[in-house]
Amino acid sequence: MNQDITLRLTTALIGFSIALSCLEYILLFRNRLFSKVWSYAHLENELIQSLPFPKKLTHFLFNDESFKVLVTLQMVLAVTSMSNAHFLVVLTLLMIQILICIRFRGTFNGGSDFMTVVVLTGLCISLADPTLGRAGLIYISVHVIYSYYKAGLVKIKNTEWIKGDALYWFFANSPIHFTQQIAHFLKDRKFIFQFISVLVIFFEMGSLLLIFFPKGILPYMCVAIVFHFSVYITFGLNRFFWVWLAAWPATFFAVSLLI
Amino acid sequence: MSPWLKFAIAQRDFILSTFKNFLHLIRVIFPTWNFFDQVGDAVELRFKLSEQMTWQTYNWERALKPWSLFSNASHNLRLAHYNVLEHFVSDLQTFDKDVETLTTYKLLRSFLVLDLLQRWPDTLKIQFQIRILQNGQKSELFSSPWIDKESL
Repeated sequence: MNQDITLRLTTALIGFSIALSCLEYILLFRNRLFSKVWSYAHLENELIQSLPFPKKLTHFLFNDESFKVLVTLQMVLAVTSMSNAHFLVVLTLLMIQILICIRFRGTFNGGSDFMTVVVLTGLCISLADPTLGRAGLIYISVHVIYSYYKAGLVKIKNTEWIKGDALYWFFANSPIHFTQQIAHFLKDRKFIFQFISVLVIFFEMGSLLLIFFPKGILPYMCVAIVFHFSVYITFGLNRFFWVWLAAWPATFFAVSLLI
Repeated sequence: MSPWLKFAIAQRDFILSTFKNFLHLIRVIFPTWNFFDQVGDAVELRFKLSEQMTWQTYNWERALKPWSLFSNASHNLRLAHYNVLEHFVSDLQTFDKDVETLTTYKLLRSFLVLDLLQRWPDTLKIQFQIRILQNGQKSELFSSPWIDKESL
């Protein structure tokens, strides 16, 4: 996969991922649990006290109507970026993404918001100047590889993860009913959780080996996609699936440079 | 000593807490990549709709729909609300003033009350409680005052 195709594919996939997130916000606009709870009235004090902006600017950027405008604009730009990778479009997407995250007191959906910012930052670097094309894609790939490695490192240090107790606990406390049922069903067969935990740790820590064995990138990427899909099935994290998918072409490209 | 330095020293707690809040708001720029690392301390949210009622555990469960891979709005909103609950628990351990002024308290109270009123519209007042499960033991961390429907 050459650099140009990688850039276009990454921009299209992140555009698709952001468009889905915006669709979710738009669907939530009519839900009182969203519009009333996350109203500017509840957030105003904290935003004014914590941000180094004049009060009027904070009000202008984060009031309820501005939020709807930002989400709509982001939706339009995300759809535009799916067919056209332009620096200004991606930069605006990045700025809006950061503003939306600030409005949700840091993030709305944790890691998926982090990765969205990483991919958009990488694309901004790549599209800012033709000589920086590779640098932006490498930036994304470093974050992707490190994200797996760091997640694995945290788990390997925790004996509860090695024993499988942690995975059982996450299954038993999952917000997805089906996953809780699996935990209940396998309550007396914890060796299954231990086996899966060890596999997950091997997979995550193994990301670092891609630097030394770059030819393994294709099978690793396939396993990663299956891994993210299973995380969606068990914990309902759909945004993680799409945004990591968007980050993979850049990772594939950057690791392939080592071959 | 310059007046600015004197001012900064006098206001250091306020400046540090404001800076900490600012970093919290812009944390999306500094990814941590710690996933599924906090094990063991399950936070339980309970509520009562009348004084005679026993505590009911708030149910966070959702079922996935066939289209949830593409749009899972209500589930992601629930996750965001669960994060608010966890941040409120964290705030409780560091904040020694009136908790009702906390943004996390306002958000938590608002979402819980609205959700319960949607399900039981005749409710007149609501109280909620937070318990933490540590080492197999459940301990009460916080109980809200009674919240009247009219005060919302």
